[in-house]
Amino acid sequence: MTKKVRLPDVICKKLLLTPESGMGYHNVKITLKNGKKLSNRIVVNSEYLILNTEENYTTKDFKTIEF
Amino acid sequence: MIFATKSSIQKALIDMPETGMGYQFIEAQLGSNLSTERLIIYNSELIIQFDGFFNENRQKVILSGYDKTLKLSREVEMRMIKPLPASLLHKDQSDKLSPSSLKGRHTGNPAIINPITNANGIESFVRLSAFEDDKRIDFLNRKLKKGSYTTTETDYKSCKVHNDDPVDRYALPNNDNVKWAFYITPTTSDRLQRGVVQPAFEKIGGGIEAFFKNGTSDGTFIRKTAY
Repeated sequence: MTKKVRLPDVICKKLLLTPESGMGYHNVKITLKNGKKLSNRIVVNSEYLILNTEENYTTKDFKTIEF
Repeated sequence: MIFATKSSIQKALIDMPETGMGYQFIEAQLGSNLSTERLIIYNSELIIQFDGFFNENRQKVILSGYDKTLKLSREVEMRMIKPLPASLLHKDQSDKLSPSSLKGRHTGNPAIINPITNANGIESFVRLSAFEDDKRIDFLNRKLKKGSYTTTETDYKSCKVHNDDPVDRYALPNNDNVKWAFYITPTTSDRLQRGVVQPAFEKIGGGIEAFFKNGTSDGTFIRKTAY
């Protein structure tokens, strides 16, 4: 099972308005509320960010998304 | 490496035949080099060196997007341009893809750089997903949302007949099992780009992909089945 976290609704809405990178996923850059940026990351089904095994982010950690 | 062609070279490339839909396989001197190199040219404007890093560079184009890659690529001179036979390209590619080619997989350009065409109103497409509530399906208006990918029903059936792994065939980033198939039959007014899934996420790809920039018309989502 791939480790993933649901993104905030405001980000999901933006994903739904953005063309996919491939079937079922977007390639994105995400900024966290603490200022950290996660580059070249994958969001599936326009709502779930795939996490690395050592990451433990929650929905409320995310601030903005770029494509 | 990835480069852009100079506008002065583009006319010469346009006058040369394509090797396949949307690309040319050539040999040329690049920049100030006197030795020739094998190159893949997309749309007569984007150059990818056909070397050991070709698949990696092609993947970069997919992930960054064709237009963005082209904009960021340095223009380079080309001289002594000579078309190479497609058989040479196919041999090189088949060396990399041979295990999968036995399962009805394909080689070719990604959908996003291929020409836009209209659907014929009869052909069906299938969107595969690990999610029953796939967010790219508009269940209310029964259509595919803007900017979404599918495969063709034909390729989906080929995947099933060959007992192929859909996660590898469609280079899906999510290793969760594909559980659902959403069938779409676009109308003749719906437009799409067809292509081949490129290697990504350590998956081989080679399935057929179809990109619907504007989505599909109301009522074109026909049914959902288990994979």
